[in-house]
Amino acid sequence: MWQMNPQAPLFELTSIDFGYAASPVFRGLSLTVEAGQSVCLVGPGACGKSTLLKLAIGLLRPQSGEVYYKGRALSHFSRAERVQLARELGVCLQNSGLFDSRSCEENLAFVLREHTSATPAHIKRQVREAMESVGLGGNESAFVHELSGGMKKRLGIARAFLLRPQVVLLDDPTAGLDPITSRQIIDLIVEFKQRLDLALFVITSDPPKAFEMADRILLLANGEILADGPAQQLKEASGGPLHRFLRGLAPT
Amino acid sequence: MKWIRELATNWISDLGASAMFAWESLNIGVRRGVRFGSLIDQMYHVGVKSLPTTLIAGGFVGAILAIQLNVQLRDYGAQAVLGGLATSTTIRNIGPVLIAFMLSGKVGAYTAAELGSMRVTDQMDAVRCLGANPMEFIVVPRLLAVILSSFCLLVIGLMVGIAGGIVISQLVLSINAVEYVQKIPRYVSLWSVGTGMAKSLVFGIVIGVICCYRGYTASGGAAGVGRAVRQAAVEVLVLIIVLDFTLSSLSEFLHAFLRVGQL
Repeated sequence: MWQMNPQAPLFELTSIDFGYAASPVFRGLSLTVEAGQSVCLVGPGACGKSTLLKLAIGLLRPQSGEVYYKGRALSHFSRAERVQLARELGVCLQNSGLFDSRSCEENLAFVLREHTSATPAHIKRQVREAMESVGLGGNESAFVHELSGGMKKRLGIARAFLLRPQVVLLDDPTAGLDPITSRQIIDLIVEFKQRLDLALFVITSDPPKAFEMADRILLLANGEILADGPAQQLKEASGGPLHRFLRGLAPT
Repeated sequence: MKWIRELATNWISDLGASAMFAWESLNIGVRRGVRFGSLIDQMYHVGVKSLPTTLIAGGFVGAILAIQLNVQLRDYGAQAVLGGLATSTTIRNIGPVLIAFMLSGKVGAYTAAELGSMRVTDQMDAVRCLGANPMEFIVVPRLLAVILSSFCLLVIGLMVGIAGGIVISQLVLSINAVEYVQKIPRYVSLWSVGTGMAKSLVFGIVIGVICCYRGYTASGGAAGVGRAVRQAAVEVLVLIIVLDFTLSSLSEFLHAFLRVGQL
């Protein structure tokens, strides 16, 4: 296991270059996220928000530059360190990444079986509690493909928070949901954040929701961080790229 | 000429990538073991559930061969050897190829589509986020299950094919089933059976590796999954034909070589 550097930021991306095929997404992007912060990354569609999240947690490798987690380069992580990283990070990707040919119970139990030595009875109890905490109690045996979009998001969030991670990363948790379900999902995330006292890194294309969840807002557009600051300060500031984005204009 | 060169280059490149994928899967399977529960689960899904289709296809393959060969043999008054010829052709050549074609559609397309869907809906990435290796957790059990199931189904299909030939000869061609069966050992040697088994195993490996590889590397949403399934189907069908020719030639060559050696 790696020696944690208490002074090191949670995530540090330095001079990242990344692109898909012939289209570059980031050129020399640098970003630091301190431990304990709740950060929201906002920006127009297809600006690289999900790509940035995947780079930060090592699902994608930068073409140049380096990503550090607690001061250690992800590219140097051993298999054991990756397992430890998975325990410390709760992740819910844009499509939730749920195993849709499995039941809700199996989706959550998989995480506990991989990372704990809990007995089957204990796993069953934990799964039931997690399902109830996101309002899905009684749906343990339902298959993921039978769930609605909102229920899938809830299950994805339950899985992300299941191991009580240090930081939870959510990729557009309200995408494609109606306003009522969106509201419920945001309330759920804020409740979890306060109850479990953990850091959040949330991607959203909806800035008003970002202000509710985050201490710090990042605006990503054209492969660059155009605005970075405390949520309240950016909310009140008039002019600037975030203000333009809030008004439905291209952030420049 | 340019497009032929490009096509050939792409094919060789894809085959190389599939071989690397198979090697990596084998490596992971040997080093970390196979998740037995997943393997059994997958064998049930791709194997047991494909059994009825295989039985139907196998039975008809044997019956078709018996009817077709009977047409040729009748003209020469050689219907007495129908049992031997039909069974030999079923086991050595047509049987494995036709049943493998059917399995590539049933088992192969299912596997490529399932893995492709898992890829484009972030399920592979989710497994990595949970600290597990998708190759170990998802691919290796499926690959092994497809290979084992395809091999077993091919062997079962061949046996049912022989039975199909016997039944159709008795019921339609008015050839006594006992006479039909008595001719089988004369034309079907252990070498023929071994050739059929070897082809079944190789075809099973081809279906497993190509379909898992195409599904695992799918990208680009639903269209990408469709593309992966189509590529897998085309590659498997072409490879089965090419390998059938290669293995048949190799089998004949080895057989002749060993017989010369014995003399």
